[in-house]
Amino acid sequence: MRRLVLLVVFGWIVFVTVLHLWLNLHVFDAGPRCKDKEGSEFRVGFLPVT
Amino acid sequence: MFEPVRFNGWPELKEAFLSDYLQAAFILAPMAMALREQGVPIKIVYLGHRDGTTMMVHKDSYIHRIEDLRGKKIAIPNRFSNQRLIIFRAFKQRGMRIDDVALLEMPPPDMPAVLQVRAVDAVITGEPYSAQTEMDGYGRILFMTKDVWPEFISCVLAVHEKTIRDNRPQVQRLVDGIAGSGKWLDQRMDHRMQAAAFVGKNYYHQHPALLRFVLSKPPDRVKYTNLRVCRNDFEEIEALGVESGILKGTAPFEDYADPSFIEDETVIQPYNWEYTR
Repeated sequence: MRRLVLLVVFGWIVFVTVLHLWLNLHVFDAGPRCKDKEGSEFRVGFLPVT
Repeated sequence: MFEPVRFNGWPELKEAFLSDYLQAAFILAPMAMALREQGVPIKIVYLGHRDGTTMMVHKDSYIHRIEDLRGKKIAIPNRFSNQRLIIFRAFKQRGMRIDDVALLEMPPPDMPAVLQVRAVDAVITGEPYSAQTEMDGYGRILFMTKDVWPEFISCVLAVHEKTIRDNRPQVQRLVDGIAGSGKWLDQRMDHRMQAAAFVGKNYYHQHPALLRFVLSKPPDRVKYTNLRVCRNDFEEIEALGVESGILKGTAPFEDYADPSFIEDETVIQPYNWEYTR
């Protein structure tokens, strides 16, 4: 039982970590990030309000 | 060239901007001024829009005048917002005080739901969330900012100083793009309807019908021209911010603003572009 719990906990941590790397840090994105001519990224934050 | 990054709440956007994840951000004007007062090296280089904020009450409420808000709960996007300042300003004009009401800060996307269930008595935020309550049939307009504080400023384009120093041509390109887009939007109503389609689908992820409503009913509900950073506008915001206690007044206009990117708005031409699906 203890082994199962540890396995589930470990698996959950791995899952959430991979999800975070994918969705928030775009580590697995295939295409190039948006860069300007000098090669640096230019991100503009916004809220969907007028 | 530019990567738009969408957020759902002001605190998250502010933190991403402060951490340099964002090189620029459309941010609440008083928030940008407060950050500059705290020593954050940013500059306001352009506005996002004018007007485009509405205070909504539940259609069944007994609130029909601003004075009826006394003792009520009002949802605002952030304490460092012009939405808070317009309440302060309107109350002052009517002999009321800001603490005559309870202000609750919440993300704009959450506001329609809380108004629908009457967890608050009024909400005030940028569109389209106010219009959403109106379209869905439970919201009633108490006032539009264009009728209470004409040429109201909500969001501004703020850029890190080091980005301006190291990459001024890119910042200029960004501001020119916003200016040309704004002229295009305000040039004709069908341009606004086109914008509702592609912005709703590709950027805001909101229903185009909602954006069409915001951009047309009435046509001056929100405006995208006359967005140059002007001293008079910001000194008025600063005075109200100091009086209401959210700003210290320690940063002069030259510290937090850089209007040099658009010296003369009349020379900006609208984009020559039509949306094709």
